[in-house]
Formats: sequence, C-alpha cells, structure tokens
Amino acid sequence: MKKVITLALALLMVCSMSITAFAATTTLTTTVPEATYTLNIPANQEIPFGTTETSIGNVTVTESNGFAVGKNLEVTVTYDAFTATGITTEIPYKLSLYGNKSSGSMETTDLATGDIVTFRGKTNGTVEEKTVFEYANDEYTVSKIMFVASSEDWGKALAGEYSTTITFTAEVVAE
Amino acid sequence: MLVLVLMVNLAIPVFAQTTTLTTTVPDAYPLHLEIQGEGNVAVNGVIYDKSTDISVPRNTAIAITLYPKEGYHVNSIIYNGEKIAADNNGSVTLTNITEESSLKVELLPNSSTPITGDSSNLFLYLSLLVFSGAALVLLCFLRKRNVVN
Repeated sequence: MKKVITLALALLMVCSMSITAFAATTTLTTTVPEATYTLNIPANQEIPFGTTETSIGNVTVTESNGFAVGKNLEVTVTYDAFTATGITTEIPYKLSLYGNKSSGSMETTDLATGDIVTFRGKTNGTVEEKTVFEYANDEYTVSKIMFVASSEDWGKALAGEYSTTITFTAEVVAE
Repeated sequence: MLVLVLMVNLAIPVFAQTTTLTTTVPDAYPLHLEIQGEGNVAVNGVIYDKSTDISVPRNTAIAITLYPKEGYHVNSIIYNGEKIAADNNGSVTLTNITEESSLKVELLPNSSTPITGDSSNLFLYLSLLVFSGAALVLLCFLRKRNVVN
C-alpha cells in the first residue's frame, strides 16, 4: 500500500511540474515607396553669337518623395561642342557651376562633361532642391549653370546654324 | 549536388532629359562708318560720302580708301577706338573683322590756321593810326606855339 501511495504521489509531483509556455507575435509592416521626383533642367535657348559667358539656368529637384539620408539623386551631365550640318568648324564651350555660400560669397567650379551633381536625401523623405559643391572646405549651393566660350573660338567658326545638346541623366543611388 | 545560381538583374530606373542650345554664326558684321569733313570713303570699292552703317564679310580683309575733297586732308582714322594710319595712297586695310566695328574718318581743311571770318584791311587801319597820331602831335605843337606867342 505504501508503495502504491508513494508511486501515486511521485506521479502527481511530476505532473505538477509541467511548464506551459505561450507565445504571441506582433508583426510590423512597412512599404518602401518608389522614389519620385521632378527634375527641372534649363530650357532650350539661343546663345547669341560671340557670348563668352552667360547663365543658362539651373538644374533643381522638386516634388521629391521616397528618399532618405544616404539615398540620393545623382544627375550626370554630358555635352559636346556646337556643331552644324555640313560645316566643318565646331564651337567648343564648357559649363560651370555658380554657387553661393550662406555668408553670401560666391564661387564657381567647372562642370566637365560626364560630371555628376548630387541632390542629397533628407530625413523627411525629400531631397535638397539644389545641388552643392565644395571649395576650400566650404560648401556652396548652386544657383546657376554658366555657359563659357572663348572669343577666339567664336571667331574661327564658319557662318551657319549651330546646335548642341546637354543631357541630364538622373538616377536614384543609395550610398 | 547541383547548385543552381540564379542571377537577378535588378534594373535601376534611369531617366534622361536634354537641353538644346542653338546659335547662329553670321557671315557678315555691321561696320559703322562715320565721315567728318568733306570727302569720300571707299569700302571694298563702294564709295560713301556720308556716315552710314554697312555690312562687311567676316574673316576677310576690308580695303578702305580715303578721298578727301580738294583743299582737305585726312586728319585721323580711328578704328574701334584706336588710331590707325593710312599709306601714301590714302588706303588702309582692316584685317579679319570678327565683331561689330566702327570706323571714323576725320577730314580737315588744309589751312593750319583757323578761319575766323575777319576780312578787314590791316594796312588801311595802320595808316590811319599813324596819320591820326601825327596830326595829334602837330596840333599840340601848334597850340603850344600860339600860347607862347
């Protein structure tokens, strides 16, 4: 009898030692939107013959969404000399970025064909409207793109109608 | 064990926009010709007798010949603000005009003294001066003699 009781008590003790675990889950979801933006570039325009330096406008980004710090918009700028159909002469030129510091001082830097201008992503999901460049450890915000040509090159060109195309290629890039 | 590697090309959207710049290179430039004084100026053989704007071809030499009126001479030739000299034949060549330009020709009369318009007879007035002076002296002398007498 004692053995039976002992066995029963042992069995009861084992059964009372069971641990029940319960698990519950919380699921977080998010949607990473596709980055959207409007790229504004200089309008088509006529450059008067002999112009050595003039502003052609600016490249800016507006109505942007889906960006973040480190997720930027890079715009590659490519261009070539003025050419005319049936005319052998070309009119070379270069572009340069004209920027201002917060203090008001200005600076320029060359924009060679193939160079990239970057519009940095911000924490609010947009990108900076204007691009910046660094010069002498200072940051300058670009306010206009300058067209620069030499008078000698204008003088060498034969008479005719010339044109050139500046291509702005935009790409969303994560650092 | 066969390992299948699946490469997925994740296309990154790239968008391009273009700006077109155009320009017209002219085949001629305006030359502002100003003639001061009396005479003619020939530009590439075309004669002008008064100030005018003319069109000259780019990147070519322009022959200028000056014809001051009789009694006049070329005092100065100013091209784009700089004085230039003509040769003994009164000609000058403008080389490689590459922009809108100006040519000012000053033709002056040959007399070096300015003409004032005074045509009075100097000899007559000098004679009258001497005569009146002598008469005055004689009168004074005669009056003195009468007083003494």
